[in-house]
Amino acid sequence: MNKRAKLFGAVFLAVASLLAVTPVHGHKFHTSLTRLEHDSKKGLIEITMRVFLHDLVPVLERLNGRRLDMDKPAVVDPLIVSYVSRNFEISDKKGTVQKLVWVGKDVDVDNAFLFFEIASQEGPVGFSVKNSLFFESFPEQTNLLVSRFEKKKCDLVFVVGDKMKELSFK
Amino acid sequence: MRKFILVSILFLFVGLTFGQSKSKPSDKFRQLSDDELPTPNEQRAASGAPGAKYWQNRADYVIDVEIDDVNQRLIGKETVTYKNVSPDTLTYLWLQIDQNIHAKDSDAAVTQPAPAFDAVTGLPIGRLDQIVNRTYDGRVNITSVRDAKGNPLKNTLNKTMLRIDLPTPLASGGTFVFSIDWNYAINNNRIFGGRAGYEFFPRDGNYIYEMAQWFPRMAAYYDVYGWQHKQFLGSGEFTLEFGDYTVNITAPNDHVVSSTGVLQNPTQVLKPEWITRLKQSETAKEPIKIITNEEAKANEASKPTGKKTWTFKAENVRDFAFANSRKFIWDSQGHNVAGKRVMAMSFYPNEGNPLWEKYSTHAIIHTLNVYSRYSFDYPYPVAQSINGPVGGMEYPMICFNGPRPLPDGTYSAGTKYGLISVIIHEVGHNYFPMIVNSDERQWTWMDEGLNTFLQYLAEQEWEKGYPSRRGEAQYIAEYMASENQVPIMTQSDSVLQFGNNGYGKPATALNILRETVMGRELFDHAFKTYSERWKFKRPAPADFFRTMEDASAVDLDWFFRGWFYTTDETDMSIENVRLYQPSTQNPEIEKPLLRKQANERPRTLSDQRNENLPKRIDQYPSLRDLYNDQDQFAVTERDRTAYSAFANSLSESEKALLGAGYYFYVVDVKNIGGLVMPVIFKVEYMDGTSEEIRIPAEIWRYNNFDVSKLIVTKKEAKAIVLDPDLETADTDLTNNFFPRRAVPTRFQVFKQGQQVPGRRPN
Repeated sequence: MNKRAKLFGAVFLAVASLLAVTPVHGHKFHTSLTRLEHDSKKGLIEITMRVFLHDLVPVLERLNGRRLDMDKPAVVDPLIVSYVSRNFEISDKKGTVQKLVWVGKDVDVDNAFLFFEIASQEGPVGFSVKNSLFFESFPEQTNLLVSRFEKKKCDLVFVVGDKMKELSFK
Repeated sequence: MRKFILVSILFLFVGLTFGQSKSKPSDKFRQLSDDELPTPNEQRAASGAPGAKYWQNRADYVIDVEIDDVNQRLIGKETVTYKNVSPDTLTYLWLQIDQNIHAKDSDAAVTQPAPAFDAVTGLPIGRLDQIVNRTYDGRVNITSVRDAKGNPLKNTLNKTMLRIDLPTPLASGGTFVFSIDWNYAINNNRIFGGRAGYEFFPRDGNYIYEMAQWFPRMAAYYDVYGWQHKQFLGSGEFTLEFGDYTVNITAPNDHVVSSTGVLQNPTQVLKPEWITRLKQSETAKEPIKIITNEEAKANEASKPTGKKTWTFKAENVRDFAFANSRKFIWDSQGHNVAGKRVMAMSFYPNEGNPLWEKYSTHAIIHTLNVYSRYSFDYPYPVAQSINGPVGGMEYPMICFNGPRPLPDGTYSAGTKYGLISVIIHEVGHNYFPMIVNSDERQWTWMDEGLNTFLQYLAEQEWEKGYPSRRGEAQYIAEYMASENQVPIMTQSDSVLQFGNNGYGKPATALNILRETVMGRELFDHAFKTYSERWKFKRPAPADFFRTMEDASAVDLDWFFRGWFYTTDETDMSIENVRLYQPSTQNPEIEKPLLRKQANERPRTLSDQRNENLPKRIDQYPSLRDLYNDQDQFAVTERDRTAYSAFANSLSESEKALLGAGYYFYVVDVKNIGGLVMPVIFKVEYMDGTSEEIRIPAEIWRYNNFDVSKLIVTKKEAKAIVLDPDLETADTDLTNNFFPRRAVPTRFQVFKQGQQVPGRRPN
């Protein structure tokens, strides 16, 4: 068997075996809640994402190509950063994409809190965000973004098909 | 507490004050009315109980079904006996043909949004194949629709709904019998998802079939809604009619079948050793293996030599599901529920171990115990949990649950508790909505919200510190603070916030109702009353709201209105705390206090600047008189005489009252979030002790937005905290403290935790 077929076969088996063991949740309850706040003293935008573990793990395992042990941060964390960075885009007023800096995660039985920060003195007014977490997995996914800046609010909902939305605080 | 004002006043204290309400006419305590609730009638009483003329229709089924393990097809024929108990004459019947969502050109397939090709995870290869070469067509082929005599019946298919036009109208009290033959290709659940389908195991070449929504099922026709025949698009669920089922399931003769109902022909389909072991398990103290791990493993290599037909009977169920495979391990334990034996059984492949054999049947029994206590005794003879491709879905007496360990047999805490939780949740669904048969299509929260709440109670009784969605109130608070919500009761199919509105918010509301508003005794009794009233019937939301009040004598309209009909949140704030103390009238005490106050008063700028200006009376001392030299804070004889007379006029108890040194704190609380909730104070004293004071929500009845509460204490307070145990889902904790305290966000707590080596964030 030539190399290419072998590789294909290996990938196929890996993916197929992933499919064989990744449980599909019966109830269609697919949502996430992200909180965005500004710490003016530290000049940081603090982002807390709350997602369901049973949504996150299959996605990470597909990225990984095999089953994941969630208790191994050295393997798990880079996968999270990679996945979130490409699905949670945030740009400043000028349109410059901001880099999400990984702070850590706090994982519960079914909840995962993912913490990121962005350096920003002036805060998130006029920034634009796109949140497409899990859109590739669930067409009915809804991602809530709750943002707070100096006592003002901006609440957004992202559904499949949404593009960048501006943060305008009231 | 420097902000407190010490006011010495002649008389005692300010009583409870009511805020002004002229400009804010709001009555959150008005009773739920026709705006929100339907008028009671003979089907559904004002008390929340079924009315004297409550009715529901019925459907009995006799079904022959075969699972073709070679081609992954299902072939079935059914005879349905439909009883029209309603007062109406029916000219047609509707049946659900759910499997049609898997038709190649179904709405569900055609309206799928574009896959995210640039998603960093890529697409599972099987899914890609089906997108390009959609070969799978799960359309239901209906080959025959006939009446009892075998005459064809006129029928029309509308996607997932089939209408049968009755040859003669079916009058009230009448019965109609008809038969349908059908078949379809079973869906690969891994690729197409859903609540049923098969899972293929490449290593041993075997399948697990989890079969649900597999037969044409009578749609429900009921008083509130008429025909509940909304198209099945995959996410909404359903309601169905109760009836008796006899189902003959034909499968390869080396398959094991688990099903709703009780097996009628064990000697024909079970091995003798299985029958013996089953008998032993009836009185066992632990689950017993009916098919051992090794036997199941060996059976994977088996090739069938024919077919077997398993006959199951189920009474008074609203649906029917089954699972079959040659991979199954089977364990069983009999359990006593109020004197009746219930067989708790689990079926799972070796891939489910060691997790499944350790926890599944135990979790089933635990659920039966806890839920029976809060609602009613589990009335069915079996309760089963099956491991297959479906993550979590419920049917009468059987549920499908997905969590498995890693291939090497290890599992995370998340997987372990995930399995226990999903089994509790799915078995719990037997109660809501399988038996308390609410219309899930209309009111998701009536089963999911109630079930999530009871699941939480069951989890807390599994082990101390069970990692439930602990602090549910806190999580839901974030959602409730968001602008993008719809009230729970504006039920809609687009339900943007489906999950939070269906599961989390109602479950939290019930928990708050139980722990904070009603108390456990009143709540548990009312909840049990609701469950028993609507057992094997179909309640609507008004029946629930009315019953909870009816059985407890607690006015709950304000609560249900706030939580279910609005998108208000809880955000209460301590705006101010004023201290009043009675004057002792004793000049020896009061005058030095006055002097101290005067000395502490800040000097004006003018005063300071005028300090060194020359003054006339300094130049001309003759201008001085007694008013210049008098010390207004000195205690005079006259003061003492006056006080003496006053003291003598007091009785002993009045003297004690004045001398006791009471503190009168008036706490101003503001309702910012809109939801009126009980006010719970924790008063922290200077001496390090603290005290909790709980005030019912009725404190807001005269003014829904501002209220002042008097707290009388013997000790000086240091701080007052609102909702110290986070019971009310308060969305902004920074204004719950007086004096104000900084409340770190979850982000900050996490970061701080990280800086302390070895300390695990919570």
